[in-house]
Amino acid sequence: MKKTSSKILKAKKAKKVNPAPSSKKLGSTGSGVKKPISKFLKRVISKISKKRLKKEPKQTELVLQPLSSSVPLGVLREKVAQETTLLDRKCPTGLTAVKEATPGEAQYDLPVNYGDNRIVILPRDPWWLHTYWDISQSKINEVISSISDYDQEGLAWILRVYDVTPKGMASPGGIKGFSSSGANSFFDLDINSLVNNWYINVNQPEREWCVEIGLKNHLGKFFPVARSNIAKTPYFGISSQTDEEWTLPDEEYYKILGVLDYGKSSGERQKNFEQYFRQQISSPAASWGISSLSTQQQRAKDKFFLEVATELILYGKTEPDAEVKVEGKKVKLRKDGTFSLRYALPVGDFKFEVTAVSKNKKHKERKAPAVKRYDK
Amino acid sequence: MEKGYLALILHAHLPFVRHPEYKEFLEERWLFEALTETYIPLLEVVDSLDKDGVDFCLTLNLSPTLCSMFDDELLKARYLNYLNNMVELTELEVERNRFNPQIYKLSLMYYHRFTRVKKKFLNTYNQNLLLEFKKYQDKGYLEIITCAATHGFLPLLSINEQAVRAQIRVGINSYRKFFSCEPKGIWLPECGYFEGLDKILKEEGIKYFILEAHGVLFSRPRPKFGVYSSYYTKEKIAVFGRDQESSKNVWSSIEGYPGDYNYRDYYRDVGFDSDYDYIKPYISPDGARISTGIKYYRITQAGPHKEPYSPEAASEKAAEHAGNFMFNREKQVEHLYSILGRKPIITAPYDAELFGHWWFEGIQWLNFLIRKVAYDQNTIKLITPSRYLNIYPKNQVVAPSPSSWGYKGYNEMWLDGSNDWIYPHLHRAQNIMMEAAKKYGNPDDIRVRILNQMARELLLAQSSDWAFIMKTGTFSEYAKKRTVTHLGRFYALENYLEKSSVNYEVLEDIEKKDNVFPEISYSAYHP
Repeated sequence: MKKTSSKILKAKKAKKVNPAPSSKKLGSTGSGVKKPISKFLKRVISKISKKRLKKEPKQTELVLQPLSSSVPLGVLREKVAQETTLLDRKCPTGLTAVKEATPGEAQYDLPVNYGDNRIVILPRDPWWLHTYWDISQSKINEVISSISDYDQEGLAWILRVYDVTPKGMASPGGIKGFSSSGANSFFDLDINSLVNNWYINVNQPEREWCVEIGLKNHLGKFFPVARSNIAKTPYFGISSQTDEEWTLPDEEYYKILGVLDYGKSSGERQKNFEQYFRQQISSPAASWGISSLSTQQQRAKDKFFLEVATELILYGKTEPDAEVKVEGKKVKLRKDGTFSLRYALPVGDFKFEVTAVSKNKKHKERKAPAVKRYDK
Repeated sequence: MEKGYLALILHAHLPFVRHPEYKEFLEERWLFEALTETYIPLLEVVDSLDKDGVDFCLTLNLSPTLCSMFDDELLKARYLNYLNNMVELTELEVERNRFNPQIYKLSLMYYHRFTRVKKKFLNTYNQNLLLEFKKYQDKGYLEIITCAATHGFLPLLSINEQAVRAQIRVGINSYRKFFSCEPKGIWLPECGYFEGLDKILKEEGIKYFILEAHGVLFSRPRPKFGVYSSYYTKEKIAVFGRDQESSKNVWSSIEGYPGDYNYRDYYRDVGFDSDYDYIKPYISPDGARISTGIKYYRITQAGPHKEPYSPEAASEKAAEHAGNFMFNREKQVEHLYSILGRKPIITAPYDAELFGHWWFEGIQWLNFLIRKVAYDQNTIKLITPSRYLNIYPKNQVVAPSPSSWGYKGYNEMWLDGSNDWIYPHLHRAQNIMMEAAKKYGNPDDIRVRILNQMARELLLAQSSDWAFIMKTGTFSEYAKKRTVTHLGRFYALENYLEKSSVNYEVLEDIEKKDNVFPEISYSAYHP
């Protein structure tokens, strides 16, 4: 299901970004390399910023209220105490005064990147990893300046994905002292250098992975810029490994799983079970989560519709201290003696007997409007 | 003698939503609606079971953020406002529907419901639901388990182990404060598990956790009893796997019980159906129509035509479905008992809010089910995970599979194009928090306050709810804003430490707004 011809799934965000006007190759001649790269990257960064920040101000620093009353921590307690005393003494509504001074609606923003030269991988499922990276311009310059002029030809960004699963049953955490030559195997992915994250189809559950981001030249020589943590893809499938003390025959075992008619050989059953399972866990009904609190109304969108209903408003006024009843039920009066009632009005005849009695019970009034609702 | 056990597990959680800076805030309604429709009705069921002397037990997870909101004075006051407003609306509804007998009856039902809930909340429970839940745990009916502090999805935070530890430790501390004992089990947020989590759980004193079915089924080596037994990880923490069959009966809105045509329709609501001017005071403060909880129709059929709801017919259905559920579990247990050579446990966890809020009759169903299990059969008995471990203290040792109960079973629900942008920020903040906790070994009071508040902001930003909402679309702007705001506050505070200068008013303002976990200690980030 997750097989694609290419090993790459572009992040959704990446699609929104227009393709770079120049090619991915970072330069073809030795002499002019450094400048084009940094210009190119600047453009890249500014594009990403535009996309991320959209309407927000073009800046990468945190926005916070001006630190008007910033004071060194050491003297702070004293200062606060003074302020509090002041407020208590001079301003009885001290709280309000403080509130006016506080920035109630600070608008926060996050930087697009931190330039901390990191690449991180996260397992998404048994077949896919997610990776993000944050590489500073100076780090890129540093790596490039260490590459000889000859080797700079055709430099392009790639991700090198290493399988670093320890041999045998060693503890997780990857091959000890992993160096790029000690990996079990690796493959390279050309990446769109406009993005800062990627989904990698490793297509193998229960293996450990490490990813390097770096530059590769026309001869296939790789210059790593940063290396990720090690992460393991989750397990998939029923283990064939069993425990002597705790073993059931396969026949019996698949009965527990509720797989009774899924095939004759245990291999067939296992395969069918796994297929069934993939479907099961793909079912979106698995968790309602907080979406159960969504308040959107569903309606078949394809159908034109018209709904009409009628209501009747009955309103009036009397002395504010009088007692008013409509069809025998007491009605709440507003302070000025007015009242208003609202009724859903289905098809039919309706009468509204309204009575009012003055506070001293001496006066009584009765009105009885009636309506007929019908469809023509 | 029983042949097996049913462990009903309810997971009650809402993210921390509290906005004192606004007079009214739409998303605070999540709590108010869940209180009215799920949490208080659930307590009423437990009250009635207790009063009738029914033998039962339930496992209940109350997430630390939910407990904090139950305990918050501002939210309590706002909940009462909400209830008053709803009582007022139902009064108008009773009057308005006087000439439509079927709907009139339903208006009255809602009027009585809201007034009853208000009375219960004020007078019976004295606005202190936690005390009520604690009472039933002390009586042995409920086994209350904890959760990660803000329901952070741990597999995607685990790049920094200490960040996971802090989520768990702060959650446990909050539990101790409210329930005066140690939690036996934990509900892992979204059942999210990664290799090595069991070790952290052990170090924090947790005895068991629950995983989605394949988290257990895909264990290495093969788990002998499928999901129908407890297992130990190599750290000797017990793990239970969710039973697919019983969960589908209840979860699925199509094949499951909640889709029955007699049950109340969720989408037809007076918030959408009424004349705008009339309903305006009772909907979103910004004037958008929203669900009010007053719904007059039953599901009826697949199309848009809906018939009025009949509480009696729906109630009968709920009883029938409870009987059906119990019958299926009996068959399941008989079958498993004959194969396994031990009494199986059927672990059936559900989001608590499904009952009452989404599936209106779900609370009744639960009530019927518990009573039927107690009186109408002898094959199954209700149990809690810790009691099962008392019966079967010896278990196979397995390594559970990293997994979750979310869409597609692993991490994708919280890691895709809509929400993956949060992780670089969260991971970086986690590292900064840990370094700061290490760096300021013996800080003065003000630095302690700043560090504690940084911990709160980080935890709040880590709530899995934000990533989930970004993915599902509804309220996604709010979720983004929460993530950015908490991280923004986190960095603002960090800046104070860096510069050794503080804007005291800003600090106080942030403390007042994000006042979750008052007992927090930033040392949770110190290994």
